[in-house]
Amino acid sequence: MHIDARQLDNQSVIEGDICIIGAGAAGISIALDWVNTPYKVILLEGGGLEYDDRVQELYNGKLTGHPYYPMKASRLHYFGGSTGHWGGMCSTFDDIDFVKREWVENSGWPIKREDIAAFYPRAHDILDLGPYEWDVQYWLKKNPSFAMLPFDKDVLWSKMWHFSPPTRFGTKYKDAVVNSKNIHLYTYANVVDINATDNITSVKQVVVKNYAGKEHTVKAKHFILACCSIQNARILLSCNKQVPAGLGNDNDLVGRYFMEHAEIKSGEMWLNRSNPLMLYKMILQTKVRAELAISAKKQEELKVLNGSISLMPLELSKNAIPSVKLWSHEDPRESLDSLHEFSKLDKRNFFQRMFSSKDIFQSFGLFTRVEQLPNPDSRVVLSDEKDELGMPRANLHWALSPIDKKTVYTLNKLLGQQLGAAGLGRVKLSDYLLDDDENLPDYTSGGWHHIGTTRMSDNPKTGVVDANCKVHGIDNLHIAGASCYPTGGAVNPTLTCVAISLRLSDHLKKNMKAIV
Amino acid sequence: MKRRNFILVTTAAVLAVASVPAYRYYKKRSKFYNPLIMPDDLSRFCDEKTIREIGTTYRNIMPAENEKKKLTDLLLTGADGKLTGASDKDAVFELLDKKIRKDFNEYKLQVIKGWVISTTEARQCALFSLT
Repeated sequence: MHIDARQLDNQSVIEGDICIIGAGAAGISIALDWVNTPYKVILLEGGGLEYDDRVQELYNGKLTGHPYYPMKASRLHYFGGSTGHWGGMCSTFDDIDFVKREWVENSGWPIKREDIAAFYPRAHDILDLGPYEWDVQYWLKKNPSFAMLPFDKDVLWSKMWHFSPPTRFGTKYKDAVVNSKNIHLYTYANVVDINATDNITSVKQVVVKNYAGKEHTVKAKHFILACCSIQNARILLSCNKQVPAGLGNDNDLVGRYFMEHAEIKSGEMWLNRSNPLMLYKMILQTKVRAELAISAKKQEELKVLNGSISLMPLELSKNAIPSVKLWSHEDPRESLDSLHEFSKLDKRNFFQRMFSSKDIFQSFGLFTRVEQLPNPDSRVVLSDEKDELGMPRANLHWALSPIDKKTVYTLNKLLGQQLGAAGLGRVKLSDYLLDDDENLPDYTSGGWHHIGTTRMSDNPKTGVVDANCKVHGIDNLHIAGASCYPTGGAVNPTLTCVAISLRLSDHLKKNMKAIV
Repeated sequence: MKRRNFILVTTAAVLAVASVPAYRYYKKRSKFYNPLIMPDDLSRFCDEKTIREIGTTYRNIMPAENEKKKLTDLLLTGADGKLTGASDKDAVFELLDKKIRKDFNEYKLQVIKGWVISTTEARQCALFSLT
């Protein structure tokens, strides 16, 4: 069922069993999980079913710290959320991503990989990722053109990635949501306040507003905040009428530990003999490929973070512009145009160069993606400026740490070591990896991966939510998605975001059954 | 893939595969090639100027090795402690090939001018920079 909240009488009261705030990958995945259950699910979306620039403007905000993409363009504010500009790259977190690593300050999840492993196959289906096969051996057998670089897996291993078409949730799942009898989708319903009980132990209702000047309240047994890392923090911090520091922020943690993936060109790989390295290549219509990932053993031994390297023929990669410079438009549609232009150019160059005199499969550009150290100074705070609905805008301060650069250097040096040991060629590191600056350069880009700000921990002093994604101290307020990650892993967050959201959904279902 | 493209790609691949052993064979037999001062693999990717710069940098980092005889002895001494004669090009080539591979396996690496190379290769470059 779909209701446009602009068409409701002002001051309407909406009631349901579960209220999901945000209709992006996390919110829609949870809503789909409740279709045909006896529960009334309210799904609130601030935007409409289509892109609306006036609504998108609500996401505008201020940037400080390490250069980043414009706030207005880095997420999408309509049904389907940021899956509307998602690239589709997916991989799973590793065991080591969940453990407390002594050399990684503030690391460690209160759950293990096994706790979400059961939800990965379901997330796989939702994201249209094809067979649930992550072992490189499966793909080597399936595709005879694939060959694995003969590296020591205790140093560098071939980590598989799947590519979603990519699934645009707003397109693919609109009918399933709108036609469902028990899912009530309200568009143009921007949450501007969360009202708790007097003792702040549970949420009574949320307040929604829109440009039509309408304000409504939504009451439910459970509330799930599923608006992405920046917006989740912004909403909690803005709810400061009852608690001046903001809801769930007793320990000054909401908004902190914002994480991205540090993504940057890191060098060149020169092979003794030409090899297209099909297993590692991303070209048109790629469904799976591998990246060269640092082993858990080497991470521990060398005291670095998790990360991996992808390869692209050097002729193509050497002129590539850092993403943070390429996608600097305030308007997300122009950023999307840039992406398409770049793809066309990429395709044209590829075929031109394939038959040029240079052997494009003898040299490869290296592109490294590493997790970043969870840094409390990397954070979302409220700005003095307010949006058109009266909500304080977000100010994102992205901050990196020296270990991030050390990881990029170490990972690429290990590739040089493995390549030399195998007698296959040599690696040349980028100049910035050799300078005295302990931090990564300004043109280090993020992957539009917003992680952290409401991190998970068993201890309220070190986390905003518990192991079940429930806000500490508030019985019926839950948070879905990547904002709960205590560390970001070295892979794009979407697959795990959907898996962890399904885990929360499962938990709530059990909880609801217990109440009945 | 169209037939013409397939033939082009296949021919290029066959030539590339065949060219490597041929390149090594003729390079070793060239009267101008001295395996002691010219790292075989690295010289495919770096010009002489770069190799000289790598060598000069290495000598600055390792002043104790900044001398022709010292570098020559270090390069020609095998794992068993025996010295190989510099005049036997094939033997020198094989010895250095093994030493380079061993360096990489044992993480005896240098990062100079961005290149991740073995210590043996760095010494070859250093000797080259002294010639």
